[in-house]
Amino acid sequence: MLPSYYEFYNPVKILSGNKAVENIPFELDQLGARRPIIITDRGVAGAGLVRIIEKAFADTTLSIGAVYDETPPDSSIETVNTIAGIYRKTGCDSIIAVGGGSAIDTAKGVGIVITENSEDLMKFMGAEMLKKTMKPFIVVPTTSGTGSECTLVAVISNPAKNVKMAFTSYKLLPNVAVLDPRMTLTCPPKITAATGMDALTHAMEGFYCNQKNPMSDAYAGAAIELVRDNLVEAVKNGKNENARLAMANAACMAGTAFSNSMVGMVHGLGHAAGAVCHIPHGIAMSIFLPFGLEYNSVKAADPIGRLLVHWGGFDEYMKTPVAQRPARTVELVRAMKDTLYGLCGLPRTLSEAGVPREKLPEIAKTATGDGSLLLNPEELEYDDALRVLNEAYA
Amino acid sequence: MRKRYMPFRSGKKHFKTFVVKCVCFILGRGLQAASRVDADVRREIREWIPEGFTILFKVWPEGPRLGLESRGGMLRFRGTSLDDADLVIYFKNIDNAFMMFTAQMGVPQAFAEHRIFVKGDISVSMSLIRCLNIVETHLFPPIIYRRILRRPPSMGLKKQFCRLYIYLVGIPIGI
Repeated sequence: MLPSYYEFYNPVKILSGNKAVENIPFELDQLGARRPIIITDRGVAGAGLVRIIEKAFADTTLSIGAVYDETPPDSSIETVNTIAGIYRKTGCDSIIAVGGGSAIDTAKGVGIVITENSEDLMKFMGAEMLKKTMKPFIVVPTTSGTGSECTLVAVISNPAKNVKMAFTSYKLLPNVAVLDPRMTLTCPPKITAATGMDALTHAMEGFYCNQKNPMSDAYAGAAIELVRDNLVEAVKNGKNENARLAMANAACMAGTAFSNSMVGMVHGLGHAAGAVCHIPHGIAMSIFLPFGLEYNSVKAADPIGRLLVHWGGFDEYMKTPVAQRPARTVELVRAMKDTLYGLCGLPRTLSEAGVPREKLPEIAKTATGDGSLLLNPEELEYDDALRVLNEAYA
Repeated sequence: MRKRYMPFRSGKKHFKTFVVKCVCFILGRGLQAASRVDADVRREIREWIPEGFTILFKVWPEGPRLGLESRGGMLRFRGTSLDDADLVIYFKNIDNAFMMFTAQMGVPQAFAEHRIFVKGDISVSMSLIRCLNIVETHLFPPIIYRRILRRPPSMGLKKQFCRLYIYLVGIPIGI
């Protein structure tokens, strides 16, 4: 059924496949840029991935203005302002983010500071607060999970005020996303599994939460099928370029889906668990996803039942009675969690992830302040959140 | 005959603007009164909304508005006196505000349909939305609030007292 009204926007140009990185200088030229800054982290630089980007600029008239490779795991306002200073000092005119969610969110923050010419990011917090067009911005993801290369969201912490600043604006969408299998080949199995489950969560929540629409459904469904067919292989055999590229596409498509349909309680609980216990986002998504599906399987029985055709395949969908499809979807998600636990030890419960039980009330309280709960099909209050957390603990 | 091209200005939607202004007043005073007598609203303010925090509902760009300020553990109705606030909830146009304020749709649906957008700390806005849901159960009859709330609350004796207070004292007198 069509929603009574919806919006969908995705202007990101996707470069996907063999030697995609080599096209970055041409794309920058098309965007009128000559001198990008590369924003990345030590892990990515240490794995030699920045070198691949640098080599792409050989024999061109463009030059790299600076490489910042000290992005911390949590994007922060200090880092953003430091990089903005380097950007100005070295005369850069565009941004290339190379990395996972943190490097990409940091780059989005730098884009805001440079474009708005203000170091006070607090005043741009919220939705649709950015009016000016950003500098040319290219993203090269090195994990297949966050989908940040196709989302309108950035989260940057402000340690001085102890807040995580959330920004949502169509202006934050990159101009180009580069999906090159070489960039994810070195990702370790456990991170591959966790980020893959993150992508799956984006797609599944995007498919059943309240902002879903026919366009986002198309992206989400295709992303789920790519995860179904490739995640286990990418974890087992990280050097399989086809599986890596498929997962990069899955994450990108899931990002496009949830950027236009947003997410629900799985993310609400995951953000809270991350804030309180520093549990990695992908692991939290993997733990909470079946609980989110179960919790919403009355109010959103139809879309969760239809997830089975994408996640279980057509035969599985046809042989399962309509009323049992939501429960069967949950079963198969749990089966994937067990498989990943067997392959790389990806935690299945909060206790396996090392979360102390006495922290659950604090996580529940924090979750009730998360904006994603607004789009969850079923209401989630403090007591409900605590009950789900207790179930996810065992 | 030569056609003359002139700048065109759309008129005003007087009826919808009038209704939205009226509901802003009722909702503002309703929130103020609920923050005095409803324990759930008081708990939300205590836990999530800092002292001195200002809130503004506003129809973009310069339409009807409703200002609130957190003071002494309560929400104080500030009428139309605020131009900006720590948290601003914008309605994209007067029609969206009219639909929401006449209970044709709830906050989650309005948010899902991009009819409203938020400037400021989203966690405070979540608390404010819970307060708004509670006040809607006091202001509207069950047949209406059951349609716009995801989980309508049970209305016990205490809640009935709150409803009476809001209608008989809160809205007419403003305390």
